[in-house]
Amino acid sequence: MKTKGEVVIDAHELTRVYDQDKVPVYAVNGVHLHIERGEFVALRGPSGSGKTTVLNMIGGLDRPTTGHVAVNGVEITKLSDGQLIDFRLRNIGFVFQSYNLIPVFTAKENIEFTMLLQGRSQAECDARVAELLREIGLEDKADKRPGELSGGQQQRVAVARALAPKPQFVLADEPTANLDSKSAGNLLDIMDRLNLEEHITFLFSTHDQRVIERARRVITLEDGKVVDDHTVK
Amino acid sequence: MLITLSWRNVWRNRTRSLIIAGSVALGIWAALFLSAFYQGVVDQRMRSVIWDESSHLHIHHPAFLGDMEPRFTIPDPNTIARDLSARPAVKQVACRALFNGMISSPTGSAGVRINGVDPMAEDSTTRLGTKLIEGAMLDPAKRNGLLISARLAQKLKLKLRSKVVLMTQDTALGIASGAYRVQGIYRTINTPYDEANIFITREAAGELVGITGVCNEIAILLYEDESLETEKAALMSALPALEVKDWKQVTPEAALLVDSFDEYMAIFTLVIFLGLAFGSVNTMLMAVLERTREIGMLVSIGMSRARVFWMVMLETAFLVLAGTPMGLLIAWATITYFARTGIDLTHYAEMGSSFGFDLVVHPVITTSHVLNLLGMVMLTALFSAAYPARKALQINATEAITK
Repeated sequence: MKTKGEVVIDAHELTRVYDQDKVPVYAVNGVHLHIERGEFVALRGPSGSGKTTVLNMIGGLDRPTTGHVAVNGVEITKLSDGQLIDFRLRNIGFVFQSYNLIPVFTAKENIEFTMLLQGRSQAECDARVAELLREIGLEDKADKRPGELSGGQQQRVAVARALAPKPQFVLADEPTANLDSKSAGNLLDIMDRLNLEEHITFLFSTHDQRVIERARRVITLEDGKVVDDHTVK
Repeated sequence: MLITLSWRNVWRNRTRSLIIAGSVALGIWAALFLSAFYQGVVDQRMRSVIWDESSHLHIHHPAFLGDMEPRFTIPDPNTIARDLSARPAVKQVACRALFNGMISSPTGSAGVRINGVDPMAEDSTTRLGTKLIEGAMLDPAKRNGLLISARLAQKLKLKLRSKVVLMTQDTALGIASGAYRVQGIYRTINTPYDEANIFITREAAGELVGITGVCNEIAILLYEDESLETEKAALMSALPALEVKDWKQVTPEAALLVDSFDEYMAIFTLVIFLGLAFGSVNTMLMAVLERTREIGMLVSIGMSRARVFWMVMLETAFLVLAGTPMGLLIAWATITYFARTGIDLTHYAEMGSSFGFDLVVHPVITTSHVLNLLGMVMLTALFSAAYPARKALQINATEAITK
């Protein structure tokens, strides 16, 4: 079922319970997940199935009530908040549903932002940003601020920002939810190509059929549990 | 990068930021102008005390200032005065006979301080001659000449050449009296001083109390205010049998005004900047709460909480500092203008002269005022930033990005 290779994400018996003191609600209940380098994975399920919660726990944004997550062999559930932020900076790229670009920065500045946070040199940032702008087809929009870009263009910049520091994998939470068909198709083309050519690992949470059709592995969640996990030929 | 981000964030809501920057500019102007105005008042009062009334240093018999009895004279005052005049820091020296007494006219009487002065020396020391508005300066040849203030003359219904009687205590603790004629009428800016002081020659004062060459006080005017402490220490050492006091000890009310200046200004400035700080806190808190989602996103993609903290601190600092150059410029322009023209307070003449204040105030600004104020601005910025920055730290990234 899974691609053979190095395990990038190893989530074991993940459980997330809300309102433990009153009526416990299991957002995620005993999820096991192994994702290998270069996979292009869609995590699907109806609203409230726990997709975003799983993504947040894998991305170190939320902590599981029980269970643990290892990224590239690092047990991230044992890291402190500060260590987690640094870990995310160096290992994980995030793409959010509503783009979440920094409105006062240009496309170029948004893309290089995480690289600068990592302490990379401006020359290195410039080269990488040029490369990514070319990849996403927005070379001519480098100096535009998010407010001057369409939703699709903003999301492409968000993908470029996520990829800029060359993370271990990219987590994308409903990346196409706010996009029209054409923009969504463009975005998926870009991510598909980066996955195939540069072997970047992508994990999406989505209930967009267009994403699910492009995925090479689809994991289905229902009521916080994995009910299906299959690769697509 | 953090500086760029913070600076641009400040101008996301241009109107709001401009209002706060404008308030800061106004606050800085108000604090500096008030400080300069009050410094001008204090400086002019101090100048007046030193140059017109008291001089820098006084020498007395150790027992004199208790009851101001004429018998406590300074021994061999002329030699001391000559030695003092030879000191490089000393500009002028004047010997005075000083007694408390009473002046009587046909229509009334008043308690006064009788100043027996050497007209030339006194004129050089306290510029007594320049304050005459009628008549002439005392003449050593005319033993019964007297200078009286316009206010006291009016009170006692006196005019030039009017006859008055002075009474005081003689060396035997009896009553001594003498008749004098008003030779000149003077006016200073200090009403209480005017009402309390009359002048006769020192020879006439000696004759009145029966002590030839009486000198109860030697007033010393220095070239520089800065040499006051050094000269005082030197004179105390050189004249151990006499009492040496500086102008602050002799006129404690003026000294209080000068010494309390910093405290008053600190309170004024604190009040102004507290108001500004609350405005800045409010603005920055709004800015942080409006950007909860964005700050959550920054933390999600790897911006450390320390950087988030400093981003908000920098934004607040920029917001406060944005108004600083404008405030300094306006303050400099207005202070420079009024330093030249003066601020005319003749409408408040009665109140001003009651405290001995000049009625045209020339504001004075010093480097230390500006530096202190800039320090306060920085403190205000830090104080204003602390709470919003703390709020930003408390933002939960997971909750923020799903909002």
